[in-house]
Amino acid sequence: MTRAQSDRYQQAPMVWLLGASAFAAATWLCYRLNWNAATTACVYLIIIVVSSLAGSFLLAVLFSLVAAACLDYYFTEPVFTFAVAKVEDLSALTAFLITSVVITALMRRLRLLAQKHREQAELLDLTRDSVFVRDADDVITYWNRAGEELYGWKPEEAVGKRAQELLKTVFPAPLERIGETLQRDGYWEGELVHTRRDGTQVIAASRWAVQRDQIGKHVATLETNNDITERKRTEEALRRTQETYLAEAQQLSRTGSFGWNLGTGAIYWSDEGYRIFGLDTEQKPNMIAMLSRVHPDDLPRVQEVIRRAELTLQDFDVEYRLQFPDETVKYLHLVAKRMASAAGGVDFVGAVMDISAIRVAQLELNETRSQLAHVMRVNSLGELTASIAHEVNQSLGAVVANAEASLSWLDRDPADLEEARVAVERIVRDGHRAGEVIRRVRALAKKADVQMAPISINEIVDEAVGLVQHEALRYKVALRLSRAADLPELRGDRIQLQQVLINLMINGMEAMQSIQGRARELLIRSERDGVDRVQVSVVDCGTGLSAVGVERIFDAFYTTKSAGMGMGLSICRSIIQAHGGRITATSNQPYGTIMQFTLPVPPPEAS
Amino acid sequence: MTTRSTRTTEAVAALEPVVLVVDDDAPMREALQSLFRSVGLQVVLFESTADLTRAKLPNAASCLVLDVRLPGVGGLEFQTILAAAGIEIPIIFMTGHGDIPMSVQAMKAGAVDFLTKPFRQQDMIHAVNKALAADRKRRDQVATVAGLRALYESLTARERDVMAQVALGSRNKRIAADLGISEVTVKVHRVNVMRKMKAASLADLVRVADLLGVSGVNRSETKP
Repeated sequence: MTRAQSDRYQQAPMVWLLGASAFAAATWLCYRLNWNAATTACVYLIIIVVSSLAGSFLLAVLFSLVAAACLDYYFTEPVFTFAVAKVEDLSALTAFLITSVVITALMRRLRLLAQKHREQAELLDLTRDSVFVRDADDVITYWNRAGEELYGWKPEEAVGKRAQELLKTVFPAPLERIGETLQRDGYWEGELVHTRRDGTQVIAASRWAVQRDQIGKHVATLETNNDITERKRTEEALRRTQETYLAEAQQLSRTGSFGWNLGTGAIYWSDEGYRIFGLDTEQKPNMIAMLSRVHPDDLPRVQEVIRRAELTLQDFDVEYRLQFPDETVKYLHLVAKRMASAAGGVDFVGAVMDISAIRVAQLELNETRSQLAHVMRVNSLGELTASIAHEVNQSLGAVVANAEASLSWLDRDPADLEEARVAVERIVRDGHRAGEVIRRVRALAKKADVQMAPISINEIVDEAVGLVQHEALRYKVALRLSRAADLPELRGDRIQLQQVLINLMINGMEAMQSIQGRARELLIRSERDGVDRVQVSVVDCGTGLSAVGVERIFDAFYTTKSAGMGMGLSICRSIIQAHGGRITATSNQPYGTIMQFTLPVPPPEAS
Repeated sequence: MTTRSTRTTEAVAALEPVVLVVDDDAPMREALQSLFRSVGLQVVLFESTADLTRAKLPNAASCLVLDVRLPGVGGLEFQTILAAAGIEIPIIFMTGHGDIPMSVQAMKAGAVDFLTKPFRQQDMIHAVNKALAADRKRRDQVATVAGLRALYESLTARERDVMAQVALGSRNKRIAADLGISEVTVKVHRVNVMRKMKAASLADLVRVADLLGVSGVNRSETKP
């Protein structure tokens, strides 16, 4: 039950009493003044209208009947009786009765409509959203209570004013654009900034809906506004916090982020980006400033990457160095991803990492590794001393024998110059042979940096086999070579790869030292492994490996030899891995072990 | 090189001494060949002992110049194999780095010399000449013994018995008693033996019997 209804029920007895009194007074007065029936009927009608306005439909209907009865009794000939003498009097009475009932019904309807409107307006006052209606000229025609609460203007103050002027609205987009959207969709929403009565600003989430008349003409706009100032402030605070964290994280991880718009050429750097490039944050970053820092040796490559990115719009990933005026060098890893730009065109968004620390550690690790490899190489040269001495001595023996033979030929009578010449030519050849052995040994013993160069794996196999030839004699091992023809050229350090092969071959020979009853054969095989790899195997028929051995053979300090350090194969593995390859040990059937390494064939362009 | 050495093997005249070289190092082989040829020696080259075993050996004074360290059967091992097979060929060892126990072993087993590379030509030639001389002597001896053996084969069983006894220095009377024949018969046999064996004197016959290893042995054999 609404408040209006309950009020009306409380008022009912008073209305009845007043109505009845007014009715009686009017009847008495009209009778005394001796007014005719038509005039009296008018008075009665006024009373009926008023009473029906006061709220009681029943009362009005009752008054209508009583009024008709009174008109008949007091004012229609013959008076003081309900009989009607003339026909026209009867129709007048009937007309009065109908008129009064119709008026009563209309009044009731009118009252119900008004009540409904009132209730709806009350509902709008209930909402916490500020709601107002403005006509086509932006003049406010309705203003609810929440509007008063939000903006401080009372409805009577607001209505009749222009909304934009009253609220000093700041629009997020040109008003024409908003107007177009509104006309097209009948709807618009966005964020507005309004000024309150007290001058403070409020951010409002605003929704506009258009009201049109029957012919589609824009008659009014319903605008609903919500105060989102607080939410905005929280969001901003959160964003700031996140930004702080991000900046912190960027600084910690030495990773800067950047954006690069291809259309405008504009570049954005995060704070850490500025720090990495050693640029002043006041300075607007640009490509020239960025390239001016690039290490001269890397500049052509970086320029090429950028050129290609501009051309193909492909994601890119590049490592390069920066060189600063004070000669310090930074190693950077830059990754960029293509994004469709909000403003049209293409943006590259990416990260630039300062990997100097990692790179320096890597270089140091490589240095240590190569030193260790060198030590092991010298070590294995020690093991090969006898073989090397034999090799050199063999050549020397031949040189001396040829020299003496040559002398003998010359001493003959007559001297045999042709034979002497042949012998001397052999001296030259054997001298070079000895020199070659020394050169190989010195190369192995040399403490050289890793030099990645184009290599032929078969040449390396030949040279390594040459160095262990006599070791094979000592171990009574037959060396068998199976080299695939036309293997592709690889990239690698020939000395280190030789070291690996020598190591594997000596291991294989040692593994066959104790076997009896079968030929000691060591197979060295080179072959292609798919399109992009070359595989080298050293296969022995020795005692073989245990399951644990297969697992651990490449671990440092794991050894099955009484005098071994367990470093050889571990170094072999690090050498092969540094070449981008893989080394494995598997059991050979029926005896022995297959030691195998694969090396990648470099892509043609990389050379 | 192999074809040449094979041809050389076949062409070697019976009287020309031949040096057989076994070394797995080709340049060393070539150098040795030139060296020996420059002093007028015939040479046959082999890469391994297995190659040598397969080849037909020359019928002439020869010696073996053998590298100690070889693929397959090594030098010292081959020396033992030859000895076991009763092949008596003088051996000169070469080695890159010979140690004393190794050379002692080789010398004890009858090697002519043990040379360390690089060696002096005169040492090698000297050793080869020594070896060839020894082989020549051995071959002559073998040839002589073979001739005597043929003469000995022409003796009758009784004559052999008498020769054995004579070589021991037994008197005719004793021989007659031992063999159960008359002293005159012994004398006849003895004259026949001297004639058939082409012995100029008793001393000569005794030496021949020694060379053939028949002195006294026959007596015990014929005794039963």
